[in-house]
Formats: sequence, C-alpha cells, structure tokens
Amino acid sequence: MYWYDLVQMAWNGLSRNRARSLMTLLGVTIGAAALVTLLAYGSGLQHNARAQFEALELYNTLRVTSRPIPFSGPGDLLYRTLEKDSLSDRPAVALTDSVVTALGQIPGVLAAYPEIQFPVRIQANGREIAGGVDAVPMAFGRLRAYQPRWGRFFLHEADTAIILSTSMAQRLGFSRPEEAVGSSVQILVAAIDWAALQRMLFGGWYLSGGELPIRIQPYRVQIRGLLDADDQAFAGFFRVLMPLGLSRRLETVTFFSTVDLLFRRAGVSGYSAVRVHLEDPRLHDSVRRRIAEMGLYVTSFREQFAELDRLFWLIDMALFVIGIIALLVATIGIANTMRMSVMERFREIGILKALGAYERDIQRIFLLESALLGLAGGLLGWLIGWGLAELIELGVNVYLARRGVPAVELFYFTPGLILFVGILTLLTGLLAGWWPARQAARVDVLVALRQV
Amino acid sequence: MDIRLRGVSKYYPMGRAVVPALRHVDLEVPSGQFVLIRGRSGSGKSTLLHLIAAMDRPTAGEIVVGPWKLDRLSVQEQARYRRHTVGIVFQHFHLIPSMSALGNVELPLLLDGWSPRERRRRAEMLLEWMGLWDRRTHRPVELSGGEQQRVAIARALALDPPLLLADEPTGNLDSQTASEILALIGRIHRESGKTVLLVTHDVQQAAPFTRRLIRLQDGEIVEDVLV
Repeated sequence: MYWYDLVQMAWNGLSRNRARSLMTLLGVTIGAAALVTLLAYGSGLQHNARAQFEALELYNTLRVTSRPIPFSGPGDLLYRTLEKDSLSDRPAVALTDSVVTALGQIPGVLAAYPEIQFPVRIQANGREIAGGVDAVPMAFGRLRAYQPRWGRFFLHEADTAIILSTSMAQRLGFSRPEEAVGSSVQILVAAIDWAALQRMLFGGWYLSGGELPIRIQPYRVQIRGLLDADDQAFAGFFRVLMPLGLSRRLETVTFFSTVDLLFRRAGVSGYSAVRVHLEDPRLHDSVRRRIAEMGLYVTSFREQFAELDRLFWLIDMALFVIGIIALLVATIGIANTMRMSVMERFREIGILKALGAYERDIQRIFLLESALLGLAGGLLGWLIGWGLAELIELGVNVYLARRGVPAVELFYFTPGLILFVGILTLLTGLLAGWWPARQAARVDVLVALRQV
Repeated sequence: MDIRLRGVSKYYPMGRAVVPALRHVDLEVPSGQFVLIRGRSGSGKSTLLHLIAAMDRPTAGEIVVGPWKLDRLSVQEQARYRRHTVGIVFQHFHLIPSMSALGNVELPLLLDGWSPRERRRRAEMLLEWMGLWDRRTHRPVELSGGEQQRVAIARALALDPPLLLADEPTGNLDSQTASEILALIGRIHRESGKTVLLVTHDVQQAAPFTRRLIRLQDGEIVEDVLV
C-alpha cells in the first residue's frame, strides 16, 4: 500500500465520527497547549535571568571580599551560616584602596572598584521614584552595556551626574528621553544623623524618640544619559549609575543588601566588597587564582549562575511534569477513541483482511489515525499555547507599562521547543494508538465477517 | 489452478465439546472446473470454502492450491495468497458502506499498491462490464441487493485471481436476481476459465453452468458427480 493511500484511509477513519475525533483532538490540543505554555514559561524565566546577567556584564565580574561569602547558591544561606568555617578564622586582608589598585593591575582586569551601592530617591517634575545606586568606574565607558542610548557616559570620575533607564525617566515625568538628558534632578540618600546617634548612645533608645539615627540628605545632579530599557532587562526599573568619585563624596550609608549587613564583621576595615571586571571572560580562572593568592575571597557571578541554572532545570522539570500529566490524560483519550474505532470497524477490518490486507497495513492505518490526532493536536496546541502566552504577556506588559516598568518577556519560544512538542505529541499519538492498532491487525477474519 | 485436499478435518471447540465441521475430506478440483457445492445448513460447505480461501486452517490434513500449501502458510503468506489467488464473494456482500461502488472495487488494487489512475481505470472497466457504470459513484446503501452483489463480484475479480469462491452469493436475493447473479458467475467462468467453487442452495438455477456437483453432509462428501 502507498503511504498516501494509508493517510487517506486514516483520514477517512477519523472523518467517520467527526464529533468524537474533534473531542479527542480538543483534549490533545489542551494538553499540548498546557505543556507548551508551561515549558515556554520555564524557558522565559531562564532567558530573562540570562539576559539580566548579560545586560549587567555579570559574566565578566568577580566579587572580592575579605571573608568568604557564606553561601554559594540559592537556599544555601542558612546552612552555611550555621557551619563552622575554618577559613574564616585566619587574618583577613582589608580591602583598602591600595588593594583595589593592586587588583586593578592584575593582567586581564579591566577595572577593579569598590562595591558601592545604596538606595536613592530621585525627584523631578514634582514626581519621585525610588532606585538603587551602582557606583561604576570610568573604565566602564568602554563597555557596550554601559553606553547610554541617549546622552553620554560620565565626563569624569567626579561628574555630578547619574545615568538612568528610559523607563525611570518616563516615571519621572519626562515624556521624551531627549528631554531628560542634561536635566537637573534632586536625589535623596540616607545618611547617618550624628546628633540623633549621640542622643541614642547617651540617652538610650527611649530618649532618641525610638527613631533610627538616619537623616535624608539631598543632592542635585544632572541626568547624563539614558540606558535603553531593553539592554537593562529588569534592572531598568530601579538601577541608577553614578561615577565612583561622586559616590565617594556623597554622605551616605553604603550598604545595600542584607548580606552586607549580616556578614560585615568587626575587626576588618576597608570596603565590604570590591568588584573586578574582566577584559575577557576567558581570563576568569587565571584572574580568580591570582586574587585567591592575595588572601582574598572571590565569588564568581558566573559560577553562581551555574548554580542558578540547576535551579532553573528543576523548575523546568516541575513544569514539564505538570504539562506532561495534561498530555497523558489526552493520550488516554486517543487510546480510548482508537479502541472504540477498532470495535466499530471490526467487520470492515475483516473485509480488508479477506481481500488480502496484511496485518501491518491494518496496523499502519490505525497507527496513522492516532498519530494524526497526536500531531494535529500538538500543532494546534502549540498555536493555542503560543497565542495564550502572547495574550498573557500582553496583559502583563500593559499592566507594567502603566507603572513605568520595562516590558518583560515572560514566555520564550525556541525552535527546539516547537520541535520537541511536535515530536512528543506525535510519539504520544503513536503510543496511544499502538495497542488498539495491534488489536485491529490481529482481528480474526471469520469472526469479523460473521458480525453482520 | 488445481485444488487438492487430503484428509482435511476441521473441528471447532464449543465449550467443553468439540464439534466437527469437516471430517477427512479428500477432494481434487482440476484447474478451470466449475464446482457446485450443496448441502444442508451446518454440513460444512462454508467451512470448506473458508479453508480453501485460507481464512481458516484445517485441524488435520493437507490443502494444496496450485503452488500454495495452505496448511503451512504464515499469516502474511495467507494474506498474499488471498490477495492474488482467490476472489471471494459472500452471501452478505461485505462491501464497505462508507465507500462508493468504485471505491469498493478499487480496494484490492489499493491494497496491492496500484497507482490511483491504474486502479481507477481497472475498477471502471469492471463496473462497466457488470453493467454498473451509471451506479459507480453510489454507496452500497443506495444500491439494490443484486447491484451490491455485482459490485462484490467485480471486487473479487479486481486482481484477476485464478480461483473464484462464492459462498451462497444468492442467499440474500430474490429468485430473479439470484438467477442473474448465477448467470453472471457462469459467464465469468466461461469467458475467463477460472476455477469456480460455488456454494448454493439454488441447484436448479446453477445447474446449467456447472459440470460437477458435490454434496456435503455432516462434514463429509457424500456425493460427487459430474453432470
């Protein structure tokens, strides 16, 4: 038998009971759509994290500390803080300016700079937004990720200026990006209120009025440039760049993360951390080794991302299992439909066999029917899943845009995903049809022909 | 194509009992002979035909049709034998209801891997020969009993098999139509020289076409005469 005849016969078989075939197809479509959407969502999470890492050039960045960072991956924090680390008992090398200079002179290092990060509020046009300052060295002017889309990079180390994302400028009331560049804005930072601290130290918490010894310090700065929201990924919502020299001049509390607060230890002076930016990611291992030889501790963002990748893999697997359950239910639907079809066409199978049809021909006809159901359901499911993902993404991005947050890509469809779902649904179709097709092939001619 | 049966028996299990359908049947049919097989219901006529059509296997004995030793064929070989050597006509026509007359006649050709154009040409030719040209696009339900049986005969002849087996082909037809169908089978035999085994109760109507008459009773050949 020719393949086109087999396909024709399979199609005729499915067309015979259209309602039932359509219902089965719907089941497969829903299962495949669920699988596609969930996998694309998992893929989207990973893609976004990767994009964020790349946008911030974190693959090229090492974080150097005096003490080991007591966790190496997600969920590991509590475990390591309870663990006795013998390494932490040895004398720590303070991260002074001379150490920062020495780090900067290691071959393959583009820039070494103290990690200065602090929260900030920016006011302009009668509006106020919150952000987080990242102090960056002038050497970053060479990096593509730090090239503003509008305006320019900082003029010098002490440039009294900041660089924002376009979405932040929008939230500050600048309708066009060009308007924001060169504008003067006020930034508010948290500084130590020494008078309040004195009252607290000498009069106790009660006399200090129960307030923290923190005051708000205003500064005026210019917007030097705007980074493209697409390059900044999620960071574009809050990230503010400032020249390193300016950040040092500001009177502010320079901690940002709870990790800094928890693990900054007494007895070690200098910066809490220094960031080392590599000229080339291939130099990662050699630079890392040189820093370790200086008695310092290195946390590699790249290695941390590898840990994160494992987490994503687990998330992907969980989503895959949920999706595959939906597809499994649909597969049972195909198997049931095929079984019914074999029973209904029992006599017809007998006629075909009486006329000399081979068992393999009969088996192929029914296998093709179930494969067609699987494949068509897979393709439709892919289309519906894709449409659904687009719809959800549109809704989320409309919501985010209203709040000035850059658009996100929640679902990420790769050609591999399309191929994977296509093959998977085809295989589930074949698997579901295998047993009914085998039963059809083994029908006894005489028993079938007696069924009038 | 010569047919030879040696000591063929067929028993069917019926609960704990075993019911004999054929008992030690010896039969030789030379190529091109028209044989009429008769007997009461349950005498073993259909069983004999099913065994010769390789739709069933004998419990004991040997069946040889031309070069084919039927009792030793694999399932695949049985199918090939049925396709190329035997054309079968049933009492209940056994046409596929969802297909047109043309589609039904094309079916053996389709199974044999003929191209759509070739099989269409052959099926149309056969239906024209059967006088069913204007009914070719009709489905079985739209055809009379006689027309359905003629479509079934055309289908049996599609691959031009040397052996034609007809199992009570007139059992569901009125006497006028039955007579026409028997005449048609007689004409096929006369024009093509095929070996024909016809199981029928209409001995009188079939007698003009046949040269040999076999009567079965309780699974045994009790009469085998040339007429």
